[in-house]
Amino acid sequence: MSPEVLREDPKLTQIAFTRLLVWLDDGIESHGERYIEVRRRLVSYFDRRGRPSADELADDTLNRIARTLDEVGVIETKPPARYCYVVAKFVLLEDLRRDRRHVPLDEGRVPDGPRPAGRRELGEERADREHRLDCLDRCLETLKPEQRELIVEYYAEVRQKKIERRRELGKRLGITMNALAIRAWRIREGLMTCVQTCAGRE
Amino acid sequence: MSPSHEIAVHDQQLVRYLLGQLPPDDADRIDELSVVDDDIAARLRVVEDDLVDAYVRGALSGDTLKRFESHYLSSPLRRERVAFARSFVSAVDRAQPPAARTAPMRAVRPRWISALSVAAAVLLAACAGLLLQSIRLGRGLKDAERARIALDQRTRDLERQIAELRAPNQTVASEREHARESSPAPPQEPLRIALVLLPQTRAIGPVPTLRVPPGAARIGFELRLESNDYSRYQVGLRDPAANTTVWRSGWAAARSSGAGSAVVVALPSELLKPQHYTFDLAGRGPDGGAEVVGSYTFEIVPR
Repeated sequence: MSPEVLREDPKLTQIAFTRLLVWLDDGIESHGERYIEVRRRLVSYFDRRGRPSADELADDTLNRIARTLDEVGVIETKPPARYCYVVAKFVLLEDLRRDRRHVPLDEGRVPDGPRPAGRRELGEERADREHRLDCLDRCLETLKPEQRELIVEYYAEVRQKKIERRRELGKRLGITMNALAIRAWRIREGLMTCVQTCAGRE
Repeated sequence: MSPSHEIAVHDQQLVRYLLGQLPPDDADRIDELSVVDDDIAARLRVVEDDLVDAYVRGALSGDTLKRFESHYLSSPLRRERVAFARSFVSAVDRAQPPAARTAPMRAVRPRWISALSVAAAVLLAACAGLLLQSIRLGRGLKDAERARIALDQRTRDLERQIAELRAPNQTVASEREHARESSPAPPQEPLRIALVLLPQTRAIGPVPTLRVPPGAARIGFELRLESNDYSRYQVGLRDPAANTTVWRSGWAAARSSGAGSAVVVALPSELLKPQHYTFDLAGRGPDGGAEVVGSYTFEIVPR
């Protein structure tokens, strides 16, 4: 039996989901941005904890919170992200336990780590890389010129001078280093999502 | 109050966290902060992207490189980030016009100079610059990656051909290997050491660079050893971006140099393109067993 079968039904009602978005916003309307941000953090957390189904575990966490909100009406813990982390820890523990219970079924599974590729795989890898490059080209074209300029400057390799260069860029744009980092990261993350979507990975 | 303000978390700690090098209690704390604390979550992303970019540029070394490859790359999601970074970084690097590094056209001008003609000229220059950058970004990306793909393919084809040639005549191959061992550096011309590489430490320091001298057929490298523990050494030249070994030396003994012992290798200069490379050094003891001794990263810069 796969771990997915053991998990609770992930479907939520529209009302429960909206309530979750409002609770995560914590009084500051973000139009769903906060949900995306918290979900992203949870995926990274599960991934760093070595869980292969990090995406599903993040959804599981948020669905549980949505159900609690639906049933109880209010969650007092502040900020909401702290409560998300507490629930995520339980979800992680349950997943670890499930994994231990199902070890015999996974014996034949190929490990996730890099392994030597065969000739056919190398050909596929090359085609995949080519396809990704075309995708990146297309995605770069969707950026505004100022966004392109920002990422070129922000991520340029300048070794020791990187910090000064970024500071100078922030000053020129009239924003703090933090704001600049977030801006650059958003553009890069958007590009990555665009490439993944284009390459048919999502 | 945000938890990050209670106890400072340094970027170097975040790097160690990402590489799975923190003690469990510290890792738990950063786990929590990475979800709860906006500042730490943002910094962690910056540190992670910088770490991944450093890896694809071949700028990681020593333990950091080892941990990156054994720990960070163990997750498919993170490998996906690295795969994206390869294309992204090469696009960014190629889009860097040397003149734009000082970016005079974007300097803030006093309001009183805002005559229409000046504004128009600045706007025109900015548009031209952006257009140029945009074209370079796209073109540079394709050129760099396709060149690397072609090199990958050529290397694999050559390795396959060598394996096919070797198979029917193992004896000749082993004799050739023996001959290679006894004369590792062909004495065609006096070899001048172009770059001395030191054993790598834990710190992420600047990568040594080398400009290939025009007209040189062979380039000499001296790889300094921390200690001379093996009777023979072999050096492999790895292209870290493609993670393929593009050249390998024969087995040779270390020589004594001014500061201790060193392994000297001579590379055909046409092999070296402007990019990062890593020398992987393997040692073989009297029992015949070989093991990886260390790695030395350097960068070839354009003439």
